[in-house]
Amino acid sequence: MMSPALFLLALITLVPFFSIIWMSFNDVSLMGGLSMTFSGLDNWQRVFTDPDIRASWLISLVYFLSTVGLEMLIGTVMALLVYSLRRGSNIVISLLLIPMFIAPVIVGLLGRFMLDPSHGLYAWILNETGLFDGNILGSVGSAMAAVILMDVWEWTPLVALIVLAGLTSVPEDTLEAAEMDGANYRQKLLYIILPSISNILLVALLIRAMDAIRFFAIIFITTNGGPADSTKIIPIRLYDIAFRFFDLGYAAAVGITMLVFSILVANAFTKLLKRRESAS
Amino acid sequence: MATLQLNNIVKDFAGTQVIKGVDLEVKDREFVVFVGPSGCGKSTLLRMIAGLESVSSGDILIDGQRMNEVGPAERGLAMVFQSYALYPHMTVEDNMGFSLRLAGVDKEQRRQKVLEAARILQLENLLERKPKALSGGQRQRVAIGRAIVRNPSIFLFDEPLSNLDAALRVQMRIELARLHEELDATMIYVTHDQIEAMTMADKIVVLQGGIVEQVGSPMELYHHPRNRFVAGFIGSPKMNFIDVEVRDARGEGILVRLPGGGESRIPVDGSGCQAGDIATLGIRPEHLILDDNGPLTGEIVVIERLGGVTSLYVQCFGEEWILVTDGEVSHRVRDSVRFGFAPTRAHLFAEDGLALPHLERHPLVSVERKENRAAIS
Repeated sequence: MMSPALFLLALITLVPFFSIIWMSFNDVSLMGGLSMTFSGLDNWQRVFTDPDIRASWLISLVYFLSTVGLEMLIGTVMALLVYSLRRGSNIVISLLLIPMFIAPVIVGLLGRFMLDPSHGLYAWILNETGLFDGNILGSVGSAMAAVILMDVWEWTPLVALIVLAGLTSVPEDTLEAAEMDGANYRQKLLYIILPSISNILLVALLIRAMDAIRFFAIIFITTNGGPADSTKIIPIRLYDIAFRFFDLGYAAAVGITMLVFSILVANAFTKLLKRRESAS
Repeated sequence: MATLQLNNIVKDFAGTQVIKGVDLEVKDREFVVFVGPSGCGKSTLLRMIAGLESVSSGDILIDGQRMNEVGPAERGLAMVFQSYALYPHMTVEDNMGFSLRLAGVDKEQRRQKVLEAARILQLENLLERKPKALSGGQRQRVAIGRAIVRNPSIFLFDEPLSNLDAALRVQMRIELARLHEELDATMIYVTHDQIEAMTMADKIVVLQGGIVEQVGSPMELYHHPRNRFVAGFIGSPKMNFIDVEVRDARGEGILVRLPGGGESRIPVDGSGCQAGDIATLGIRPEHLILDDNGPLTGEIVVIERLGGVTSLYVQCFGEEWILVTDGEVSHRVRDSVRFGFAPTRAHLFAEDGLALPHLERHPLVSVERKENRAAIS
């Protein structure tokens, strides 16, 4: 009974998967139709020696740590604030969630518009307050900061939503017991609330981490990896290799390293979660 | 040493009064039980004493000091919650020592105090475990241990046994009573279970609709309920109530006409009554006696045999009466029975629901709870 479904699944997942592995050992050309020339480990050697790839991984790491770190931090604080509201929390949540429902491409376009040096609102405010003068998306440090903040703007609400769900599951009387034991808000947060929601925090972190590794749209729309490759995270680099230089065999190898990295990260998280569950 | 005084305590939740002016005095080392049906405000009152709920008006005094604006931790109380409210990620030892850790007590001293409490509650072997790995009874003991470690002036218990199974509940009841003797502390205990109230309390506070209906010793509540509500609430099965006509209220007691035409003189103060008044006669099921010469007669509709005792539900002149009798009675459903009662065991309530006072106090009313417990510790 299951076989037609399994066959379909194999067709749409396994075939491309194995083709991409095969491609990574070939020199792939699209000129005059698809042709592959076996090249052994050439592509793989390049993956581990190419200084551009190394630079992109480093940028990715900075990007990954900054976005996920900021999102977790701001999202948790946001959730705690919403949780402490006595009334109107539903309206606040609805408003907070708006960024999440906007397509990343639109967020990128919006960012580009707001940061435009000639008519962007944010660019004007930064200029007027003397904080930054110049082309935000066109300068090395500020471009990275801008794309990080755009991602944070879009995805912090998701973290806040997940953490909020965790917070509502902390029993009220456990908090009251801590209050009777003499805990102030900070101590309740540190000793009761955060340890109680640590698993939920890990899940939020996992979701955001997985997303951040393959992140593409906002940077593609705003800086396209520039200026001077300063925002060229690994997916953008991959796009360039595959669809600007049409070096598809090499792109396949880079793509597989990204996949392996994602799997390793996800594995580490699930192991951590399992260990915590069996410990508690 | 700790006394508690509540002066005209009111709690208002968005315009709805749930506690409507409660006055109460709890003496040092007293075991006081708040009892009442769901929604009577007993838990709210306890939470107000704990400081977890604000007081709309009135004063809470602990050892004579006004505590209305004092935070829960500074009141010197400890509370045991219905759900135990243990910290799930901490070990038993950390759970019990949490308050001391917050207070900055050093590790060695903390451990000493936790061990001392663990010894009292026989938890020594469980100190390294997390709450998840404990049974319901053990969790309850840890929650109590957490309270003991704080060395509070007053212990507050919010329905602590209601999540335990029946056998464990009986065991914990005895343990709590033992603990009260051992710690010699003031305890306030909330329950909806009148057996817990009757067996543990020095003093029971019966609440209904945010009002104190009666405060008294268990035997006082049982033998001298102040009104119809208390009479019906204390005792199981519930007291039988039947409307009767007053025939004569002059002289010793009140002569009432029973259903079926019989008469009985109930030894209560009849100064406010006169012939022709309608009163409510209340007789506990265990005080009705099967008697071939009894003044009441009826047909058995249901029999509940519990082994030691048997409850008979008897239809008598349009009213259902419950009789608790000997476990050996051989009656069957639809049998006709005659029954009666000793007038001294009957209660009479005026039309406003207030009990007419008995002419003589029951001898057991003055027996203190401690006298029932010589063998426990």
